[in-house]
Amino acid sequence: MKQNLVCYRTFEEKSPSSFETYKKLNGYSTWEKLLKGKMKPSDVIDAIKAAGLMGRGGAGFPTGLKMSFINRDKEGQKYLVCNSDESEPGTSKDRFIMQKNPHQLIEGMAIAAYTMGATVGYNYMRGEFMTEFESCEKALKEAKKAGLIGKNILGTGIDFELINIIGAGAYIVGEETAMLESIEGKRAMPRFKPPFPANYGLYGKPTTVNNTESLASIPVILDKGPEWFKKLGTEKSGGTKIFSVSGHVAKPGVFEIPMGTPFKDLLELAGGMLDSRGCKAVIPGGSSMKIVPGKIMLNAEMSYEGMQSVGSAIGSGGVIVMDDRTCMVEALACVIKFYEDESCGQCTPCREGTNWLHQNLRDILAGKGNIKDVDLLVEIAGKIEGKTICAFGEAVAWPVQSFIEHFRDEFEFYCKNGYSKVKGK
Amino acid sequence: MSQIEEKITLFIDDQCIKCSPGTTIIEAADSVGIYIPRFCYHEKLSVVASCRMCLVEVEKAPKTLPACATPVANDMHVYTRSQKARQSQKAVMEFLLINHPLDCPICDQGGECELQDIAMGYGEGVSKFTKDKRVVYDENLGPLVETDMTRCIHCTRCVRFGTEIAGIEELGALKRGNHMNIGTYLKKGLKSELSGNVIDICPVGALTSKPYRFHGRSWGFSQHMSIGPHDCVGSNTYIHSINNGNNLDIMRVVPRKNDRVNETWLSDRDRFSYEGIQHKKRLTHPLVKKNGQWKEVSWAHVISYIADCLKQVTDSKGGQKIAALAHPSSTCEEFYLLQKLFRQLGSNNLDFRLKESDFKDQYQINYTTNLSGSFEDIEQSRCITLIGANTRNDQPMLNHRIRKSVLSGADCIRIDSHMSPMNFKTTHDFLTPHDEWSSNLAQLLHAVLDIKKQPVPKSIQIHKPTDDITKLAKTICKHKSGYIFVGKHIMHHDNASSMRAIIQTIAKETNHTITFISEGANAVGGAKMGMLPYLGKTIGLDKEAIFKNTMSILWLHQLDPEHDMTHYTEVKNKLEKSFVISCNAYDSDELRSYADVIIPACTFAEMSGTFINLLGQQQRFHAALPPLGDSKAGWKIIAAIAQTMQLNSFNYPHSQAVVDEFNSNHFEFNYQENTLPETIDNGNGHHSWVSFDHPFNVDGITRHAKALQEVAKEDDWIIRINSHVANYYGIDHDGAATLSFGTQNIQVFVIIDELIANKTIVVGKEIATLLPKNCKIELKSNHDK
Repeated sequence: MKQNLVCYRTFEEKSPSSFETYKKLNGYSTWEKLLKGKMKPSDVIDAIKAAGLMGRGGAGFPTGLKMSFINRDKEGQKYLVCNSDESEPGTSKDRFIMQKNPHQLIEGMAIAAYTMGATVGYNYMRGEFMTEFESCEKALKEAKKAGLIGKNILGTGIDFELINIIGAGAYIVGEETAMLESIEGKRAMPRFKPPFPANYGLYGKPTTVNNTESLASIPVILDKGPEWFKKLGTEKSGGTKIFSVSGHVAKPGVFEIPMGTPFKDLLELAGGMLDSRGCKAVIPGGSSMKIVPGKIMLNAEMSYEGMQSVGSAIGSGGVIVMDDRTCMVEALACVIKFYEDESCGQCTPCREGTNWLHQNLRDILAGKGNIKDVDLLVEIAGKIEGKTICAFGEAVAWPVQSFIEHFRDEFEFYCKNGYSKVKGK
Repeated sequence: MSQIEEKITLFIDDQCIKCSPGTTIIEAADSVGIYIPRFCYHEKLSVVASCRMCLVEVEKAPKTLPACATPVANDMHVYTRSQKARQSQKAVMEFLLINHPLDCPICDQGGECELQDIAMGYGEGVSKFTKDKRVVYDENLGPLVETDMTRCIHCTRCVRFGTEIAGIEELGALKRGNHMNIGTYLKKGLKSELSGNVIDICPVGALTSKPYRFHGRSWGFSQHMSIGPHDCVGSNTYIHSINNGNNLDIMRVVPRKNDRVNETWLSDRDRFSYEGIQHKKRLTHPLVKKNGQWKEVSWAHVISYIADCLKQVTDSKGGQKIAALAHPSSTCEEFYLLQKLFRQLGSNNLDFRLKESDFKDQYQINYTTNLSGSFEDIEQSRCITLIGANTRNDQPMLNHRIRKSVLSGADCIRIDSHMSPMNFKTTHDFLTPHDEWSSNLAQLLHAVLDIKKQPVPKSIQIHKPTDDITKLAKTICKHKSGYIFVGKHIMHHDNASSMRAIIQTIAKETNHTITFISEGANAVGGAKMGMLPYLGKTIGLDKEAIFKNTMSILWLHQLDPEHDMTHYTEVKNKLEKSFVISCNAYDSDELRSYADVIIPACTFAEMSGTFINLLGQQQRFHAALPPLGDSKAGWKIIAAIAQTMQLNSFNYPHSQAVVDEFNSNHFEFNYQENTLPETIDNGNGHHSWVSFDHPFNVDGITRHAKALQEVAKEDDWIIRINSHVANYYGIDHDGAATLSFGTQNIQVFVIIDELIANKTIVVGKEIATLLPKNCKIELKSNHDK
């Protein structure tokens, strides 16, 4: 199986993050083509649509369609924001793009911005990404020196300013409107939608927020052609996807593989199960996606439609593998503790509900559970789901619902007996 | 095919509603009386859609949607009580209640709590939540607002109020998730002059009134419509009282919505002054001084005693030897009858302009129709000039309108000798030394005339405008119209007449509306009722002249010269030489030291009356409480004295009869044309002092309101100077200092403040009462090495 074809294509090179390496791989050629008018903005959108590129941040919204929401000819400032917050637990893919292939992200942002008529772009990184911030800054300096970013690029009169900024490490800032608030200098709290960022975004101006992996894929799609990209994957899920495999595997790692690769093969890449134990369950798309029992996963393929057919989603590609020693009650408590900590606190169901869920799970773990608590957990999750300002509500509800759906016996056992069914007394 | 006329038709609970595009579901529902529960939504604040209580079912939408943030669309079908909607609403209610302490029995909000009300309809009888509840530490927000933050449901109305209405961000959300709480972070309390409004908008008992705490339960109160008695806007209020068995006790004052006056807001002064109304210092019996001893007497006795005194003096010396001064917050009825009594006795020595001293131009100033149009018109204005006016302190509700105009892009220019931070961004702030007001205003006029290419009069010519002043003039002239508000720093100035003449000329040249901001609740009423010396057949003495001469009898109506007048030492000297009849609500040692007869008068809350605000709107109010002790309404006392003296037509069965009479009996104001002064004072170059009176000291009621005084007293012994002046006196930081004048020394606290003009020393109220007029003062730091 071929790996590292798109976003990670510089990884095998000697100095992967350098300007020269990227240039050698035909880097910035598409951007120059656009600048010189050999390609039209509408061509870019058509190509991205034809390539079947879907948002790689988690929601999987078609990138080409999203870009077409902005009318580039409408007067006034527009913004592009690259979401490099990568805060979903289990996900660790964008940081390597920024570490080892920052120029491709810069070119992708420049192309996307120009396509939508935005002259300013922000690359928003999470607070912990110090190394990534530095490599992006270094690359930006090189690109500016080469005259590819800045004012009046290559004498064409086209402007594109790129600003790398670094957050403070909150999970919720990965939500696109919370990110806009944060860039504006406010608390990162999601905005109510509508209006969507395409109409009322950063500083009230039309804005598009895209994931790092989506943006970094664009130069390759345009360089090698949408057909090439699409054919890498399946009919419904074009291209490649980066999966961050963590948990009970022998060699946890990040792998860029074609869409539609069987999960079995991905597990193989990660060295198989740790100590060759059985695969009990997998969260395939970051902690907010639904958990899938291992035996179902082992027959599934890693694509949008493949994951949908097993009742979950590909999300951000954060594959968390759990072996048969894992206590599902503990695992869920760990996930929910994270969400309780990270709720922004503005809307009621999330602020109050996550704490209630966590207190319930904490008490079950302490042996103070009641058999009714299992249904109560599902009930609380149902009351959060769909009632919040942003998708955080779903991110909390789905793990609870799916963990209990597939492993109810473990929860009931813990409540009844006060200790874990898997681990014993 | 006009797009503007287009209406949207939608159905809420199958009821057909037509409304304009952009309306939200909650507004549409409210307009036809369909109730949707809500917490974070407030009609005057921005929408955040965070409480999620107003979730409703919208056909074709997969999730329930917040009615407060969802705009209506054509043919939309909304269900506010469907199973799906109820499920969402009940879920949110359950979440809100799990961490709420449910301590309604000991919560002041009980009975008027939005959470309590909505929980009745959407909550369960028993909570499923059996875990640990959240506890939040309380913060001291100062003497006015009490906190119980454990009750907070995080609706953030108070936070948005600070940002959007009060204009200072004092409260904010700290921490996140379940630990999120509302606080000031700096822990210095609330400083906004509108801070009390957070009590009203808080849907639960997290923010309640500190003075009112544990005093009563709202369901036992009687509610009386009233008017705020301290400023020229006349905010509409409700007075709440409770029957304690023998009497009615005042409980609190809350705003009464009137979009044309105060909207839904109320200034802290109007809200918390009620504590002064049933104060233990209130006068309850008529008192007469006999041989240096005060004696309680009957009403019959005191009325005939006063009638005799007045008769004796007017018979022997004529009306010129008697005078009456009234507080500008007196009612129209009091003003009208007081001047009627004195004019019938042959005296035109009448005034309410207690702190002013320069009346040379009084025939050129229109005291009656100050501001035409409406308060909403101010919001539409593009240019507002504040000259010597600190509207934020003195007229909070007027300032609220000015703020709105500035937020919508108007220019605001401030010219003053001492300023304090505004709650909006001004275009220019120009500081003029207290002594150089006239010459700076003359320069401004010069610059305006230059821009308008008009000839510059001789007296103005020598005042060549500086660049800064030309900038101001350019901004003012840029606008075809606007407002110029002239405040008390001008009105109280020794040179007020020439300053006003210059400002009137500027207003005329630039086509800006000039408004002299009146003091008290009813200064416009005072003028309209004829309480000015020049409205009779002959011209009487103004306030300044009254004190230059010595009156045989001086009637003081609802005023304490110590606080309501300037240069008290000089004033007291004259008071001691006159027979003083004080019609006052409050007792004090000072009052007993100069008065000869004290008659206990009611406050506005215990009588009916009329106030006329800056716009000329007549607002009538009725008694909310019975008179305290033996006190009586001022107008009744005056009428009784007149009747005892057998004067003509003082027979009024009720106050409405007085209103009917003055409404059909207008005074003629023959104004003279504004003329510029021939010479303009240039200042003497010395440092001069000007007194700063806290806005909570405007009248007897506020001076006796405990919580307000806790705030106000902080300023009493403070001196503010800028760093130049501080340097001059060798003071390099804030701290204790000694102020000396003549042979006296007093201890003060100096604050270095760059919003004070050069050569200007702003002294606190207590200091100012000690200083003789125009005395030279010296300052010395107590921290010399």
